[in-house]
Order: sequence, then C-alpha cells, then structure tokens
Amino acid sequence: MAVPAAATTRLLLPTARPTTERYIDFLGRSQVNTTPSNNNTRPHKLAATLITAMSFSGFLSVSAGAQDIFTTRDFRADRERWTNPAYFRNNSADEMFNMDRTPVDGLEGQGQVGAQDLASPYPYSSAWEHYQVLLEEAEGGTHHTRESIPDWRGRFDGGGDRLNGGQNPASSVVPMLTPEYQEYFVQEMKALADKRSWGANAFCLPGGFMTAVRDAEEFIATPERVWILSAGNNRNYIRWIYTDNSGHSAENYQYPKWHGESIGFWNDDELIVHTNQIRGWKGGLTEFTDNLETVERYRRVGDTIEGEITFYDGEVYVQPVYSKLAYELDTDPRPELRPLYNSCTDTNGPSTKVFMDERGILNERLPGDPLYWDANGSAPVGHLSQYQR
Amino acid sequence: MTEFTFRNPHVFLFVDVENETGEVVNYWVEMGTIPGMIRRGVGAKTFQSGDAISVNMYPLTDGRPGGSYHTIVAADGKTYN
Repeated sequence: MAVPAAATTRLLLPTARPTTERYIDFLGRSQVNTTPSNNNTRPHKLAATLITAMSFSGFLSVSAGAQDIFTTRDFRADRERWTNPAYFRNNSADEMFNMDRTPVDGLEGQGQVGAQDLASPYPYSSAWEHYQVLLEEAEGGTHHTRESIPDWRGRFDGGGDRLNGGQNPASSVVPMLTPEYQEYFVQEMKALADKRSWGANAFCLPGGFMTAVRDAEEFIATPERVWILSAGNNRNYIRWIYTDNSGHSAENYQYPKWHGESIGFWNDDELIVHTNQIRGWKGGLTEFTDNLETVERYRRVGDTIEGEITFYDGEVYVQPVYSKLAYELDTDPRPELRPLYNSCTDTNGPSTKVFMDERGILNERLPGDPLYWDANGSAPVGHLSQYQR
Repeated sequence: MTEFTFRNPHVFLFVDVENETGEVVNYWVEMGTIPGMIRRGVGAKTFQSGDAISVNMYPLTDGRPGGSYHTIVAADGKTYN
C-alpha cells in the first residue's frame, strides 16, 4: 500500500525518528516499524479527522539549500554530489527503503559516515582464492562427526541488516560501485525518495540470494551438510551447503540459481562457505550480476551466530565488499510464533492485487476495485474465470 | 468493525465510518503480518464484527477509503500498535 505524503505539510521536517520493531513487509523487506513522534507526522484518526487530513493535498516541499535526491529533477546531472551525505539528507539506504512508510517526505536521516567498513579487509581478488586460503589455513578443514558438530540449534532473528550499508549514509555506498552501478543505485534511491519502491515478493518473485542471507533463521548442521532456513511471511528460503568435500558442480553443469550453489568446510567451530552460480538480482548494496561469488564465515558465540560475508563481483563493485552478520537467538518459546510456510499467493495473488500504478508507486487493489480478486476466497478459480470470459 | 481478516501476508480490518456528510463508508485498514501482530498481542479473536473501535492510520494517497494502521483501540479500550 502506498503510504500517504499528502496528509502532511512539509514545512517542519521532524528529526526524531523512533523505531520499534523489525518485521518483513509485504514487499519482502526487512522493516522497522516507524512511529513518528513529531505532531506533523501523526496518523489521522478515522471519521471526520481523516477526511480533513486527506484534503491536505497541496505539495509544500522544502527545497532549502542545494539540490538533493528529494528535490532533483535529474539525478544523473548531480553525479558529483552522489558521494555527499547531504545529497541523501544523511539517510542510509535502509532509511531510504523505509521512505514509503513515512508520511513526511524528505526526512533527515541518522546516517553515520564510517559506521561500518564496506570494503573487504581481505587482500584477495576472487572468492575462490579467498576460500582456498581459508581452507589451507584450516589444513583441509575439520572433519566433524555427529557428536562433535557444533550445536547451532535454535531459531534466530535474521541478522543481515547491514548488507545494504548499515548505518552509513547512502553516499558511502556510491564509491564502492562502478559508474554503471552507481547510477543504478542512485536511480533506486531517487525512486525511494519519490516513494516508488519495488519489492520482488510483492510480485511473487524470489527475494534472491541476499535476502536468503539476510533473513536466515535456522542453521541445521550435520557433518555432511548444513541447511540454512528461513520461513515466514512471503519468504520460504533454504540454502544447502555441502560440507562433504564433494565440491561444486562440473563447469558444464553450472548455471545461475536464486541461491547459488554453496560448498563449505569447518575450521573447528567455524563454518566457511563458498557460493557461486548466484542469479543476478538486487540486494545488498545494490543490484548484482550472475558473476557474484561470496565467502561466508559463521560461528556461534553464545546466543548469537556471528558471521561475515565478502562479495566479489567486478562488474558491480570497484573492490570486494564486506558485511558483518549477527543472528540473535529468538528466545520467545510461544508455539504460535513457530516458523510457517506461506505461498506468496496467500492474499496477494499472482501480481493481480499488488501492481505498479500510473504514478510508478507500488499499490494494492482493494475489495471492490476493478480486477480485485481474493486468492483465499471460497472459489478462487471461479473468480479467475470471470476474467477469462 | 465489519470484518477482521486474520491472515498472511497482512492482517486486515474493515470498518464502517460515518463521514462529515453522514455517509457511511467502509474503510480497509491494513495491519502487519500474523507473526508480527501476535507479538503485538493481536490474535484471531481480538476483534469481533460489530465492535466499536478507534483506528489511527496513514490514509492511502489516492483517496480510496483505506490505509495502513498506526494504532487501534479495541472495544475493551486496549490499544494495539
């Protein structure tokens, strides 16, 4: 659902931006619930107040100072400012992704330059070289038995929330990218500034490799294989990591896959993973190509699975990029919060209920709107046949 | 409230609202995911058709009668956010 900009004035931009709870929205994005504290951003009480609020359709945009991502009419002409935090009003990429949920346009962000290092600390030029060095350091890897395999049981909260640059302002992402992908990145930031977001899951498309890493919840370790699972709203992710020394598929049988192909080994209590054949998609710092390869390292420390991932894709990144990972154990034992399987078509339907409207904003059809159909209705096939006649 | 749909990907409320001209309009209020709403204390029977509830929400930008909830005060006075 498009979140309104119209019901607010834009003269007094609040700086307070409290967040409360993470969840996965219908776009399949990891979200925080934004509860604006400024009076300017309060939602509107239904009944009479709502009608009044919706009449604030005047666009009183603030354009004080230099052109930025919220005010520019041609972001490509601003290339020299893309590395300036002010161009993004100090918003991180994550904050930009949440713009469509804030009723005020152009909020100042809380980005911190240098909050995390986006460049890989490793000297390697390829993921395979990186992986081989770690394998050598582990002297071929630790061969665990069922008795010695690390105990990673438990359900964890997805811990890859720094993959898109963390608390760095969006401007810090730009220097990490090649000119072509800088433009793709800023183009998406501009769309987000205009509240035009796009999420793969809204169209029943997979979230792809980055989402599977970001939202991992369970790590099932056996001597021969590790499964990484995530199950919830609009997401049913599984990764298979072969630790049985069987290697990758022969080159003739390699092709891009949503989650790629992963092999790994143990170095004592640490799992090291090499993934190739990843299907190009979006996620992490920006879009990526079929040539992306990664090296991941995971270790359980108390109630946390700590990890890191290094990305190698020379078409996208000017140097290998890097992110730390931290998956915290979910200690809420309630049965009603167990993982669950969802087909994307629950409610949403295959791209019929969620659609890109004429404004370029992802929108939803409501009951009563033309072409609305209820995938959970008593006779969904009957609904479909209405449109086929 | 006319209908409460407790299902994924998002939970929905439908509420009849009388506008300034006295016309009753049915509003579509989108909430969060089922797991997310459970963590906030909302279950399948928290709201019942016929309940008088109060909804704070972000209205749709295109003027249709719907929006994304912010807080809901249930018939028993309990607030959910």
